[in-house]
Amino acid sequence: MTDVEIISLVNDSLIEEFELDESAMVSEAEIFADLGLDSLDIVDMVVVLEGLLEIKIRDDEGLREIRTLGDIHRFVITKKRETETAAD
Amino acid sequence: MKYDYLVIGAGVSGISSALLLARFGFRVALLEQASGPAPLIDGFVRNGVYFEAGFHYAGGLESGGVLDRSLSLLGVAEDLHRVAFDELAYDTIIQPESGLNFSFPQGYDALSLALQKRFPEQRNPITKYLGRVQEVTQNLPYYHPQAAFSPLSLAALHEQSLEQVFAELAISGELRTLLQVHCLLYGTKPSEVPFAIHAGVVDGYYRSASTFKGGGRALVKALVAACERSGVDLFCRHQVSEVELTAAGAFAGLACANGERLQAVNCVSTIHPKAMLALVPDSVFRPVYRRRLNALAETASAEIVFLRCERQRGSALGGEASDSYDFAGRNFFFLPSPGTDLFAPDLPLCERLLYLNFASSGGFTGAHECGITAILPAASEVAAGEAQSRFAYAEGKVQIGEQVRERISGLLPELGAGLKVECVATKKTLQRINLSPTGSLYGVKHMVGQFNPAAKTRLENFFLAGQATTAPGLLGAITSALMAVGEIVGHDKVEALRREVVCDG
Repeated sequence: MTDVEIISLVNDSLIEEFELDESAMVSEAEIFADLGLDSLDIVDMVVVLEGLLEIKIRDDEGLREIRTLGDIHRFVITKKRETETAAD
Repeated sequence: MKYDYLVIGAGVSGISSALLLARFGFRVALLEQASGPAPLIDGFVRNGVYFEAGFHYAGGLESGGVLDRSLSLLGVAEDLHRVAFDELAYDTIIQPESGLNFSFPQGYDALSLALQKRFPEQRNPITKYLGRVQEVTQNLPYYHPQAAFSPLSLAALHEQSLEQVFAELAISGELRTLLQVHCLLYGTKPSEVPFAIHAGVVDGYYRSASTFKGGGRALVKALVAACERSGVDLFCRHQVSEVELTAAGAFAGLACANGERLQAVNCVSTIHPKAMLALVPDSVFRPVYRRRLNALAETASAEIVFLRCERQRGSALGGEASDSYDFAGRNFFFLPSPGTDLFAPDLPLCERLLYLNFASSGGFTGAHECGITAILPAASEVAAGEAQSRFAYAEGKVQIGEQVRERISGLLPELGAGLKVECVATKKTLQRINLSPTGSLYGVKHMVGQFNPAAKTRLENFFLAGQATTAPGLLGAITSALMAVGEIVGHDKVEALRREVVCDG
């Protein structure tokens, strides 16, 4: 899966699962202020991303650093690549 | 009358939530769909004999024990009298084919010695395992609410399964069988249950096993009396049909199936999470949250047979207890044949794991007859749609009862010819009473990899409690109330109350 494919998959899934506005899905969008997510949504976001990309991020310190949609993309791409490397 | 809080469900978690909220000065009403409060904990009387429904025995009730402290916090500990289960043999595990016959004695030291005597070659793993159970329990954030935690930190704690711990400590064979038998008490397999959840349950029993004088019914009476003292209004036969919202989308009140409507500023729902979802307009929660809750795995279901028998003294069956004694205050676990999955739900009734509980006689000494509960775990699933006539259903129940009675008579001939079936509960009964779509015994599971819902929800002023949110059992239910009320008034205030009342800090 290419980075672009991952980003598209993540965006589509977040739009559907969290009822987000497609036009708001830009990488600099802040997940709380711009996308309207709140701290309660983080658990569900973790569940969705883990299932979607077959990665494990629930106990990852990096989660706390996420501020924007772009942060999510970078975070899961890194995780996906780590998982792929570990599987090789 | 406008309340500060409406609590949906007057089970242990609902009553506990109401009592704690009242303690913090709120005006609270409790709504229960059944005709009486806590129908799972309350037993029932048939033909003059008391039967336990869902409360069989409890761990951690010793003075200063974790459950004893929780009941103190609710202000009911003084109204209850503990009746200890058999000191040397509260749980007896028997596998007729292999000859396995082991009785759990009360207390960590006694248990450790008994296990080491039986399995001298596994002395080291036994010590390590019991040490690990105590250590993990001591650090459970939900039993020690001062520890800060989030759903994500809980997920890390719940990452290792019981089975993985067995593998890590090289616990195998009959020892493993004995140590995993208590999974039955919360209906989740060793491969699925987080070790921390299992430890939180068995730690209590390893310390002490007991019931209350008067059984589960005494607990319910004490909780209801505490509600009256605290000014909590209890409305039974009030099945909530809808959560009503203000124009701005905030919580406004509850509509009941009987047409009544109650208003309040806030709400705590303690019913099955899937049943809760059905009450709330779809627009309130995100699709992803609804999907997560609807996907929560259910604990095992069961066939439950209630039997009566004449009180008499039985011959010794278990381990160290060599004198003759009454079965009062004992449990028997009859295991399926070796090599079979302990919790295989699809075995015929004569081969499946059979749990026998003699608690009600312990609670009601002096009666001529005593009530026995037999539980045989079954698969938890949405019942197939085929229509069954009332007659066929009743006939099926009679057959289940007779098969189980015959099996028990063969296994414990001491019970004599006076053993009779009083009534039978099936998956359908559990579906109705537990509000569980699959007729599960204990509601949703706590499972490695699964996120159970937290107390806080997206709907402002609408909170969740109940075993599903925190941990199983009586202790889990009370703790879930502490967690929910902690979210409401601040965890520091709940902790201050705990220190003030329980003085264990």
